[in-house]
Amino acid sequence: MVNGSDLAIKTSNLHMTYNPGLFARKKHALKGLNMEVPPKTIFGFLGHNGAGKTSTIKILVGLQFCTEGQAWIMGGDVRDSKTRRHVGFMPENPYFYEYLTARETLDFYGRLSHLDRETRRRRTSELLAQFSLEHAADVPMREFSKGMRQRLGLAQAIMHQPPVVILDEPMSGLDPLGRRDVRNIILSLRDAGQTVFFSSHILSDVEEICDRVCVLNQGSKVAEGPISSLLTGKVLEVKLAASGIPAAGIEEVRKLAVRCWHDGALYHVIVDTEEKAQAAKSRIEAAGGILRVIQPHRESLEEYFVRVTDGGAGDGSVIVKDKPAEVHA
Amino acid sequence: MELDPQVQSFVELRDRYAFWENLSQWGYTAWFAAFALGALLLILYAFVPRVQTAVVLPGRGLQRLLYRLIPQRYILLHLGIVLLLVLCAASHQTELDHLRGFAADRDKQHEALIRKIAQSKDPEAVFRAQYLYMPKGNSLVYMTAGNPQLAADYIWLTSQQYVVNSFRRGQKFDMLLRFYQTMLELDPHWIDAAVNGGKVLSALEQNRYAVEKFYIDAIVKNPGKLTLLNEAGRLFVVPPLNPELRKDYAHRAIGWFQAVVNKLKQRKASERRDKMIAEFEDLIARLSVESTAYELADSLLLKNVKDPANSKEFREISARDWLNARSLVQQTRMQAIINAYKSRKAKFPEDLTEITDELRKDPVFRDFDEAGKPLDAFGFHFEYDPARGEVRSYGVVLRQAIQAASIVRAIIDTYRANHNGQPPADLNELQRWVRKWYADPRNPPSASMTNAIGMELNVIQSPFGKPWTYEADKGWIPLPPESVPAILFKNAERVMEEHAPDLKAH
Amino acid sequence: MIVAAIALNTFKEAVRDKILYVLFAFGVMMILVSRAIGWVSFGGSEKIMADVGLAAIWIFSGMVSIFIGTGLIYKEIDKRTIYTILSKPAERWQFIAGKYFGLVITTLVNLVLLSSAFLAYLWFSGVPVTLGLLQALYLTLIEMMVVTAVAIFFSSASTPILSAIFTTVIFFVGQLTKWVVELGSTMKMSAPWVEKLLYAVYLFLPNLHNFNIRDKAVLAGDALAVSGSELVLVTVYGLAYASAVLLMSHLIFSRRNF
Repeated sequence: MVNGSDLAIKTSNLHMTYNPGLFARKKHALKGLNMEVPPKTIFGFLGHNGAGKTSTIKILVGLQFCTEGQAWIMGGDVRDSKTRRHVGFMPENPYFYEYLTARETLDFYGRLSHLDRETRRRRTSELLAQFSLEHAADVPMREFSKGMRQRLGLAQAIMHQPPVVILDEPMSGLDPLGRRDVRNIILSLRDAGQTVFFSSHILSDVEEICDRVCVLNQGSKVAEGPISSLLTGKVLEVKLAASGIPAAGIEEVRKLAVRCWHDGALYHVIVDTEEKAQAAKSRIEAAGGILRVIQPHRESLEEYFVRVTDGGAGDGSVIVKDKPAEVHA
Repeated sequence: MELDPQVQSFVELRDRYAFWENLSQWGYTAWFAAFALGALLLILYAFVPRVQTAVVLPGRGLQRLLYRLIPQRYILLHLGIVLLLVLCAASHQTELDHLRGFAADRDKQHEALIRKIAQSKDPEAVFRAQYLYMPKGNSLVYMTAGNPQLAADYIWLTSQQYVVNSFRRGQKFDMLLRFYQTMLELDPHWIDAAVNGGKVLSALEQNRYAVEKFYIDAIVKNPGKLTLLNEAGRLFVVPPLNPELRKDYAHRAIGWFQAVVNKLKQRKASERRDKMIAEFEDLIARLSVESTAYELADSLLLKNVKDPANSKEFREISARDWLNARSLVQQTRMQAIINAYKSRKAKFPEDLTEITDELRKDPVFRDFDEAGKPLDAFGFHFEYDPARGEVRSYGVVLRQAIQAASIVRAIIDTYRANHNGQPPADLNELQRWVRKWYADPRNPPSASMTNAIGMELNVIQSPFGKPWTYEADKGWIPLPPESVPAILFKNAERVMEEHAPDLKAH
Repeated sequence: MIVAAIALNTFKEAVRDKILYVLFAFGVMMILVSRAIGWVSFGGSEKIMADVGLAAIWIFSGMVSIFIGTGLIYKEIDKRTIYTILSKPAERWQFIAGKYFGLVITTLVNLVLLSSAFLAYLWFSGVPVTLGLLQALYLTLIEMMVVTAVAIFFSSASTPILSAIFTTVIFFVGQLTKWVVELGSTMKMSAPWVEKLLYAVYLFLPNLHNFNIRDKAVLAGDALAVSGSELVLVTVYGLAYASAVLLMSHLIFSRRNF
């Protein structure tokens, strides 16, 4: 369907142009973004600073208006305020009213989300428990730590139990413990059947929890698809370490290697394919050396990200063909 | 017939300013105390050891105190410096105030400026400068962001400085009139202030017509206010010194009171209204007859003398005016007796002693000399012309002469200022010059001038019924020795004693 | 519902802000100072007390409207709290209206407290508390509704400093528009276009002097300062102007990207 009512989020030819003023040049933040987020997935939204991630998110939650194109959430146009009943949003480094307590804050957002008094009370205590903020329920927000703010930000986003949750950099600025908390929350949201759309810099987290990702570069999409199809598991290089190789054997091995060196105890060899690794292994063993380590190195999301965005203009980059979304149970 | 205790208020106001002056003397003490404290803090700072320690070091006496202050060492430094800096700033502020003038000192500076202008330029420039200094209505409206009532309050407060200050007595009336007119323009319905202003003006200026103009302004803006009509009428109740104007005064007073009665008659009938109408009609009736008009003034002024709410100064002014009013009452009654004598005996009495017995029957005549001649309230002999049967109170004549003389002397000064300091050769020359000078529309004669020497500006004829004596070399017209206040008003003290306010009864 | 939630939140924000208390304290101080001014004067001191007191209430209510109002929307943008509000199913007009009413409630509470202090003070000083004074205070509230709308308007389009300056200028010029027209009519002969221009300025700017019946109220005595029908007329003018300005703010605000 055109409006993507079967999708959690759909954007069609989304353009965003900022017109800063009389003499400054126009800035094209988004250049025709098409993106589809299937429901009940965790969707990672990647890109450098200024790639257009935040602009996209702001358009999706109604903070900004795209100059061209359209976007839908749960089949509803994002310009319609009713659509936002289906969205929970946490901005990057969320700020709250300093003078309100956590409980008052959640109650306030509940009212904005058209929740009745009873529901608000129930959800507030549920969420405070879920995000372990009960001890700080009646403390003004100005005394909150960054991690606590982040947790409250998540809590207000899912206060009204929306089917789609959009998070802008939910992990930025958190310590490892805080990141683990957020990660667990995101996973539990998906388990509860909600769609989580989030942008992040921390690719290891994304790789760990996302079902699908979309990579933006300079306002254009450079890659989109399930993580499993993007990271094909291709071996980039294989590292071998051996000892007791005679000089003649070393010469043989060196011919196969990209790089090799001796650290005093072990002889290290790096080759670029698995076939070469097997050949190197047999040569080492043939020369009478003892193979200590053989370690293939596969492409990580980070390396993939660097590969598709590095120096690349938005157009002419790799677009991985979609496989049908793998839906977690 | 009650006047506000105006003069009393002036005195109170002066005392209040004195309070602030006393306070400013305390300021010096405070300044030195603060300086000493700041210095002490800095000295302490220098003596407190510079160690960082969590435990209190042991020590004895002063040392113990110093050790205790270790954690507060930097507070001492900061407080000390702050105190000294504040004092430094304060001293400079005082200096600046001295240079630029404190708001309250502006008058003094302005006066100095006016004197400077007066030395170099013509009197007109002086007047212009004085007028420029006064706040203008429109600018005040802008300054108070469209709150003219606040501007009016400001004018009212500022005007009080002019009332209290002793300087610039000559132009005080013109200045204050300007103030009150601006005030009326800004807050036209502030009746109390208009009435108060009118009273201050009438205390400053003998010429009732100028004050009446101010009231007319206020009445036009508040047509329904009886108070203003009443006050305008009261201006003319006390007869003027200049006998030419006496009829007109009565006429005007009656006119205003008639307006009050008319307004009252439009109101809903009530006992209170009818009582008020009766009172005003009684006033009108008494004013219509010259003799009773004087008696009205007599009783009004005596009431002022007696009223314990009035200050001593105000009672004294009233007592002096009363001498005048009482003398006029005596004069009219005596004239009536003389006229009756004439119709009885077909001739005027040769001498006033001939009617002494008759006069003694009237308690208005209290004092007689050894020969039995009556004395007026001032204690002077009456002037009597047996040929025409006319009698005049010398005290009344003398007061009028004093006023006229001061005006003629001022005119001579103006003449000199325009003739390189040369006084006129004789009064005829002065008369010619006066007519020419004041015919110029740029120099209209002031109200007090026409009031004292008449509309024709007669500088030759004196109120004594003969020309002024003129000392051409000095440019001076002398007055008889009895014109000094100590002699002229010698009876005023007696009046005040006799009519001392009955404090107990009050 | 949403408007009420935002209004209540705005009120809480203002109430927990120090500036409100500072302004309130200054207002009360000014009312008390009116006594001292009256004390220096002889005669007319009651009038001066009432004048200064009413003016203090007026100016400090104005300052509350201006200083809290101009920062209100900008602060939401600057602190990014607006992100979490507008991403909720709330319309932008509801946000503007909520902020506006929250501030009006704040002004109202401030005005009521200052007025009670003022009237109690008058009463204890033996000055009669008249219906006219209440009328003047009521119109001050309507005036503040207009000023608040203007503050919100600038706040939704500009930075706090600029909007505070603009609103203050409008606040003071609005008091003087009547005199602006008078100024224009004096130039009828020499420069007719100036007269027309000033008249246009008069029509366009809020004529806040309409709400100033303080001079009449103080001297009215037992009578009303203005008639009931005039009061209605002025109220309608104020509400119409405030609504127009709020609509303008909405027009700007609804198109803004954050």
